[in-house]
Amino acid sequence: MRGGAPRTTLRRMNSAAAAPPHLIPVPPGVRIARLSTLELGRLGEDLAADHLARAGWQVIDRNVRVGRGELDIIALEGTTLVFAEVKTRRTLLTGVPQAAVTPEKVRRLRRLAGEYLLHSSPPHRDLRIDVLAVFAAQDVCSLEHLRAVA
Amino acid sequence: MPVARTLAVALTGLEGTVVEVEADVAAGLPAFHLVGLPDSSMLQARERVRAAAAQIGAGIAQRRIAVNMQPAWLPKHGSGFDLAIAIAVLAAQGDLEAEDIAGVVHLGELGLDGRIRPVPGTLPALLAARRAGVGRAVVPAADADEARLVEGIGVVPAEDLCEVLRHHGSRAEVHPPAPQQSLPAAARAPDPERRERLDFCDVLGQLQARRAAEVAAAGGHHLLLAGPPGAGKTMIAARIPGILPPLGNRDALDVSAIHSLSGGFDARAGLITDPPFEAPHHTATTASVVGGGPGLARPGAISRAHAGVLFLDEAPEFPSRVLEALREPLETGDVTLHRARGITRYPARFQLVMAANPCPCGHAWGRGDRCTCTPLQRRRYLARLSGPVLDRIDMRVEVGPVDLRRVDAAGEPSAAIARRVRAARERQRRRFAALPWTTNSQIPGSALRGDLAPERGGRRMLEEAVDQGRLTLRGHDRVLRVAWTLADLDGAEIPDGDHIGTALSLRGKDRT
Repeated sequence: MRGGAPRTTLRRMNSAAAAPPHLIPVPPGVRIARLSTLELGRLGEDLAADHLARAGWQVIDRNVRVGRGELDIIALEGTTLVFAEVKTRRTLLTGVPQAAVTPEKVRRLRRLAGEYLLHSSPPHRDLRIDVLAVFAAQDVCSLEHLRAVA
Repeated sequence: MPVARTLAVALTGLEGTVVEVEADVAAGLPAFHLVGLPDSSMLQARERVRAAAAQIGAGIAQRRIAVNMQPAWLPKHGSGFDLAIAIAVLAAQGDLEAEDIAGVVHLGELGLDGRIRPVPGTLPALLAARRAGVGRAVVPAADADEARLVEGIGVVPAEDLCEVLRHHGSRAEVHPPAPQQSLPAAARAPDPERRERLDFCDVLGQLQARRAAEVAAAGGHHLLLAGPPGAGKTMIAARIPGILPPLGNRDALDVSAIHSLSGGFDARAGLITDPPFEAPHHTATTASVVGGGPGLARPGAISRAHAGVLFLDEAPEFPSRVLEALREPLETGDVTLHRARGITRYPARFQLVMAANPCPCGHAWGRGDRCTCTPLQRRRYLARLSGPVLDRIDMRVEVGPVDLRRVDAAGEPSAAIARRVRAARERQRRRFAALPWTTNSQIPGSALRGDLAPERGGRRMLEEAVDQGRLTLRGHDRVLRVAWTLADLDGAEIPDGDHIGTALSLRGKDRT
């Protein structure tokens, strides 16, 4: 895919269907193929949180265990409280990362978000659930941000 | 990314509506939504489109895809929309230019490997597209012959999805599916020899029945042949299509469209010009004869026999529901079927030919010495052909056993009879040139009593029959129509007393 997307393209991602994903180099010393599934997921979440922070979001919480599940990233984009689910894959054999977010999983995310808001609610005006799909190739990760999926 | 639009055709019976298929590819979780009142076979298009596009190398984007078909209120069914859906989606994700596909009709079912398979009803679909002013249509290669019968529309035949993409100038890197052994197309072709072999010279004797068949063919009249088994009723009926003139342009188009819809149309020889011949078995259901089925009704035997012959052998054995269902089509020449999903109208201007035994054992003929049926059985048997049905039959002819001593050599060949029939039809065509009907059987009653009324002498005979209750008013009209045909066969300008007398005797008794 095309690299070095100008910032205007980034902002258009909301509506643009074929917006290019962001390319992030793999941190030095990390060998994707050697990582365990757990470590890979952790790496994806770190990259995603960094990406959101760089975009000016305020990351409030990460890996919050609520009831029987976990919310990967909770962040504020302006006045909108966003629950972000991060999916990381190093092969596309089973489909793109975001394909793993099934309607069933989306329903669970909604429930978890509700449960989270019961006991801690940072000040916000709107709510949203996003998916950050990370594809980790050998030395570069591509990150796609899907907004308001549920 | 703009919304991409292309066209397809939704068929409701023979009526087609041009449908706009629009696709939107948006950022979001991967999903494929198909809206606009599809039925379940159409919803399955999602899997076929996804697999077909992947197989030729132009994958469907892992995004939120929404395909809408408008008008959205019109129920759509079948797999013929696959190609249009695939093309709209590929254009929406940028593999095709939206301008290239707008205004082009796409018809075809997709195989998982990207091959385009034929769909029923290509002919009526393209006729509808032409009416809507569409100039170009992509059709399955297997349907190309059928599609080319529609003049004034550019037909692009395609074997697979890859060919369609290249036709629209796509720069996407695609490759055609690997060649495969396809099913032989010959299965669809009817036997062209079958009709040729049936000739009237095979029928021994039976002068009156042969004459009745000729009159029926010349005027498009309904005919009942009654007689013992083995007299040749079925032989005579099966040979009637052989003496009918070829179909005119309009009829040929209608008949071809119906057969395209019911899947029995081989377009390699052009439009169907032979009058169709349908002979359902007496176990046939009402739905199979008049048309029917769940959702939207499909054409039945009476529609497939449109502009041709519907032959009911052993007519009293048919369920009375089936026979009674023929009443309206016999009068109106079409059939309107109401179902929850919509109303369909099919043409059904067929010529009814029925054969009947006189009783269950078949031997109640002459003195009926060999008949083993009780009088009650005999009465019940013929009562199955109800009065209202019999009343609509123009001619009821008794076909007795053949007397071999009186049979002269071979009968007249079909070709000679066909010549007379054609001449009689030609006279009718000239007489009705400025009128909406084409054969004597279609003359409305008002015209029979007005411009086309025969001279007084003959009419008085009929009026007496009506007065005495031997003839219904409908029967009176039907006798006059047959009289006109007899006059046409004789080359007379107007039916005289002889013609009307013969027509009255051909009509037979009200109870055979």
